[in-house]
Amino acid sequence: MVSIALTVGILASTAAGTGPMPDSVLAIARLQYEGGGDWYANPSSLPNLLSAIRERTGLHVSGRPETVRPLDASLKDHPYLYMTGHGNVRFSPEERVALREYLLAGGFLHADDNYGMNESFRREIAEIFPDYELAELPPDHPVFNVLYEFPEGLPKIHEHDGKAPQAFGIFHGGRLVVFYSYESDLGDGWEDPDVHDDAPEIREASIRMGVNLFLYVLSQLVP
Amino acid sequence: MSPVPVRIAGVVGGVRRHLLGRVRLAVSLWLAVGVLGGLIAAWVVAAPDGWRQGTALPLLIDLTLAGLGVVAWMAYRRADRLWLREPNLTASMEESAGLAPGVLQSSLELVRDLPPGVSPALALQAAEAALADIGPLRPRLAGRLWREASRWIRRARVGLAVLAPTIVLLTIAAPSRSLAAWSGLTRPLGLLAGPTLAPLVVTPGSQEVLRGTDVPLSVTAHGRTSVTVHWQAAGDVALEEHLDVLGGRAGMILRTVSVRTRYWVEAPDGARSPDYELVPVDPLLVSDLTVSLTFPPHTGRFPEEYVAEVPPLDIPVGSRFAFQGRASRPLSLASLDGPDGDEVMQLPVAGRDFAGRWTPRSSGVYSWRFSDTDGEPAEVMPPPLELTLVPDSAPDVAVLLPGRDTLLPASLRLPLVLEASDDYGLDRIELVVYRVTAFGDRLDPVVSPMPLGGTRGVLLRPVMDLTGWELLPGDTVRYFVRAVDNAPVSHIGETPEYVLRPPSPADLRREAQERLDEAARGLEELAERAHDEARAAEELARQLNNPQQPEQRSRDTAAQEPRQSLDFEEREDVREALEGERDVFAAIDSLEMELARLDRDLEAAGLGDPELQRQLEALQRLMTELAPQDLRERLEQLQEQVEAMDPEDADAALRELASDEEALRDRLEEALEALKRAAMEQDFRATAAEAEELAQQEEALSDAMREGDDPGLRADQQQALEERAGELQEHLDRLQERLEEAGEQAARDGVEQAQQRGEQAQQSMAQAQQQSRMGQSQQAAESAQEAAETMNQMAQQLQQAQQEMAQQMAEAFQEALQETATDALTMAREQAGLRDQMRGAGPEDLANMRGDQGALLQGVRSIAENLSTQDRISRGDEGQDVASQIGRAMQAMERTLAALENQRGRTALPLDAAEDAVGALNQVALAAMAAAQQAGQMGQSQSAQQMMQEIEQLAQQQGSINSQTGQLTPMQLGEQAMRQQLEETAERQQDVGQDLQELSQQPSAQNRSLGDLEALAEEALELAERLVGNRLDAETLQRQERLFHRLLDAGRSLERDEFSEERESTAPGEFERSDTGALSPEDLGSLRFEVPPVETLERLSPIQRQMVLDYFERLNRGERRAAGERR
Repeated sequence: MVSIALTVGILASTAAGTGPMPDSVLAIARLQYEGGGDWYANPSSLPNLLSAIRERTGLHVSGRPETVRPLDASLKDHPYLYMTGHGNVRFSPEERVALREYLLAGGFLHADDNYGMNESFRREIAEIFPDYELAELPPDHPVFNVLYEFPEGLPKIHEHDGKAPQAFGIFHGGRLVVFYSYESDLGDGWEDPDVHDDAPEIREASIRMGVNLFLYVLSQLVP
Repeated sequence: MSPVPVRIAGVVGGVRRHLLGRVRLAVSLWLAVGVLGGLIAAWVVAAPDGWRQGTALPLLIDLTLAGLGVVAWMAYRRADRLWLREPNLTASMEESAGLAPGVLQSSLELVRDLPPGVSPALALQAAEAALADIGPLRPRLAGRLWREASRWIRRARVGLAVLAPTIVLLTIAAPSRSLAAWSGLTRPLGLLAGPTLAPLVVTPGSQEVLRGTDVPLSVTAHGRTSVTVHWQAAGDVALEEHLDVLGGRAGMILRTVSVRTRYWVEAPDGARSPDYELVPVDPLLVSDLTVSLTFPPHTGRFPEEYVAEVPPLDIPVGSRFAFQGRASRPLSLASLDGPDGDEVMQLPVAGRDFAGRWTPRSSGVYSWRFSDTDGEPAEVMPPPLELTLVPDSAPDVAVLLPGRDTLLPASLRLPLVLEASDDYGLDRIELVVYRVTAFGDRLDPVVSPMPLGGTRGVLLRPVMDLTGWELLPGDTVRYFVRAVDNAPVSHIGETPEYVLRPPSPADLRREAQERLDEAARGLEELAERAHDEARAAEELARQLNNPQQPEQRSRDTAAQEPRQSLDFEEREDVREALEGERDVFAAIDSLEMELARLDRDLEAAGLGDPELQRQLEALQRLMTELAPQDLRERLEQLQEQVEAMDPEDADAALRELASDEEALRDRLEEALEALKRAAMEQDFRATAAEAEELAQQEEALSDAMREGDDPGLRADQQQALEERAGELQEHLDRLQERLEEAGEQAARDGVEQAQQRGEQAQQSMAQAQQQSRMGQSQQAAESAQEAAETMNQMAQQLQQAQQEMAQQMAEAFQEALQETATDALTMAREQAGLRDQMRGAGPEDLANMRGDQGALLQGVRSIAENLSTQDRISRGDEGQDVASQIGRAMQAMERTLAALENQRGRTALPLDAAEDAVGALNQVALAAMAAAQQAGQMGQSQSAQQMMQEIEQLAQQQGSINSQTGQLTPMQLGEQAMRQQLEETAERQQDVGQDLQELSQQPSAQNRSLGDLEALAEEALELAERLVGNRLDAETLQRQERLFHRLLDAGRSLERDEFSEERESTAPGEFERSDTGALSPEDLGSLRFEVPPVETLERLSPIQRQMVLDYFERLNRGERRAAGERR
């Protein structure tokens, strides 16, 4: 299906106070990056996750994820970014600055290693936050029990190297600004069932974890 | 008694009775005459409307009549007693009977009483005699008395005869007057009582009046000349005022009646009006009127509320009013009347309160109507409602940018600026995009809604991303924007439909040139800015050394001593200078990104121009070198140290900064030259491509004209091509200027010759157009063919000039490399000699060697200058490698020089440094020789890279073929012309296939790293067959496009990253989790210095907010670093 991607920014209304602004709709935007990695991987994952969030929480979330680049002016309009891929990730210096400012100003990034982006992502995130470190989240962190219980921490969705799944985070002022899911492959679990032929319980676990993460991030946004 | 006496007495008595009856008759008749006379007199003297009160005339008349009665009575009595006395009567009888006087009387006396001595008989006899003389009793016996009585009777009858008809006439003629006049006689005393004046009539009498108002009093007082009005307000003394009565009326005004007031009026005649009372009441006023206006939900407007006064309102249809208020008195009616006066609604009232809801149906002025329980209207009505009902209108929507039919950018991402507004609110905007294929097929539109949630006006900047549309040559994209408002029954506004044309290869080349030009302008500005920053830094350094306010400093004794730190302003100035350089770096990064974006866009658009891509990559590297990482780090370090700087440090920092910026400016100018050169070459390529494309189209048009099917259409097409040829001539003008400026005289001459060809072609086109319009199709075809051939020659000349220029550059570069190698070897030898001298040399000798070492360093700098930046840009990696080696050599030699000067103590030993310098110079020589050799072998090698370039060239050819086929369909060629064009295109397609076949048989293609070239060749040949078979359809175009991209992919596969293939994952197996500890405060990014709350930050301007956040960020970052070190 041919479609067009739209990035919409509402700049101004006519006269001040002449009309309400559109209702805010929660959404997840896919981060497009350079470097060769397939930032576009798992195309059906985010729509499925958003649909699950809408159904399970009743939150008014957009059904259509948008794609945004770090230097897009609309970056700040997306409080929740998701990035994935199997390959190389590279940000330009300007993009790093933009991402840093975005994240420190209240944004959130979920980096989901689809197997293969660990090295480049860690390199880039270290460039973006040279004074922060990715800290592994313990199983009792609220992100693992905000709605669904994950007593052992991040679920494992797909096998890659036989390693345990790990969740890392970067916090700023106590707020989780970056969530890095490693060796889990949540995005694969969110995809349409026939893409990877995952077992239903595996898909369910990934979606539950996605819902948990969304809710946790949302709880950070609400003062 | 004897009968005689009785008889005589009887006769006399009878006469007397008769006379007495006559007397009574006469008296009665005269009495009647008197009465009638009185009635007539009363009729005469009375007023027409009756007697006036107080008149005595009726009484007088009555008295007269009464007197007349008395007189009559007395006359009757007199007649009875005197006039009818017996002697008088007997005398009259004697006279009547002719008797001697006294006979009868004496007879009577004798019969009544005989005197003594008289004989009774005699007496009787005498009596008998007298009786006999008298005769019988009769009326006339009375004689004179009878006549007299008869006369009175006769006279009375005459009077009656006159008066009685008069009375009858008066009665008939004026009965009311007669009745009034005669009735007055019955009440003479009532009329006698004098005149009765009319009672005083006072208005308004007792009444409720508005409190505080003036009350006019009016007194009707007939018959009076003045009256007196008395009034007494409650709690006040009584007052009075005399009023003159004019015309029976008088009046006055009681001022400002605000309390209960009693009043009455008296007349001098004693007349007095009743007491009246004026009761002041408050006027019926409407207060606390609140008008609430609720708009229809779809308008999204907040409810409005007005108190008391409602301004003229423009309101959407469906708006509802809610009224609420109260009046000063109980109400009986509260309503709104429409413009025509009819009541449109009635509000329920409850005592003094009223409330109600109303939805107006039409515009107009609606007036209020309030009445109290007495039906009195309100004293002051609230202002009417002036309403204009505005029906919902369709939204306005416009595409501000591009707002016209245009060419898609190379990125196939078209930024749009949409403006939409609606009177009430927009529900959404829909971008409707569809593709029209080269064959006129219209594909299903793609509708992209953008929900707006009811805002009334928006400016949107969506980006239409067509990268995934796989547009084919000849396709057009059409779009329009639809705005839908949020009314219950939606209205829709639409923009005109715009056409987007995908860029042809020539368009892409032209766009690339323009963007390079733009980047060059940016770089030029940046160079100037760097220069300005350098000068500013120097100036600031001077100011730090020579403070501008010596008089202040002289007053400050402490200032005589060396300063230990910068004051605030100085620190800010230094910080600003450092920020300036950082901004320059940021601008360089932006330029680098722009070049990368251009590279990416061209790649996405499928412009397989390897030369341009090489240049772009080289330019990006150059940009990276402009602001190297060490320079950035040093800048950052200086920025962090600003707080602790003393004047000496600041001076050093600023001078270092100025030096860096001057050096940066030099590098920027070099880069600018390179960029300009790249832009010029791109201009060259774009112009040549346009000429080639134009030639192809002209040729196709020539074929079409030859068929002679539609001369008018062909003339129009010819005109369009002629206009494009004119634009091409303008491009050639500018290209000549560029070449002249760059000193490329030979190329400029070549372009000039090509331009002359272009002029010839343009003339032929004009001729063809004219001939076609005249219907001379064959002549027009000949002219068009001539134009096409001339245009082809022009394109070839341009390509040739371009290739010659490139060849000259390559040769110059090769020569420069060879010179570099030679010079580097020479200098390596000299450096080795100097190194040998350093062995065992003392400090003094080492110091003396600084000059030689400095000369060597200068020599290397000269080499670097000789190998210009442009050379490196033009030749790509080879030049880059040499330049890198030269840089290393210069660094090594600088270290050697520094070691000789022994300035910093941290440098290596001079001998070691010199050894490094020798090695680096040798590396320069080797790299230069290798590069020169490689440059000389260009076109001779069949290495994988060479093969890659050939594939890239084939991709370009394929792109050109695709463009050519895509342009055929819109030209609406005739069958023969189309076949001819397809045959020509098929030949080109076949050439590509054969070239691919040859390439696939090369040994370097065997590892299939370039893809399956054989399959590509087969596909190209098959496409050629389809074209020969006149099968130009959508499938052919798609396959051509696919082949083009596969060729591009094959060409790129060896030189850059490609999107990685998505991997299939497998279900998770067993794994072992490690224990993860709790997060530490440092992990949680705890902030020692809490950022101010959002509410506080929101009150700041964006710049201030950013400054505050940066400040806290610096504070906390330092804290985190410290924590990290402690850990």
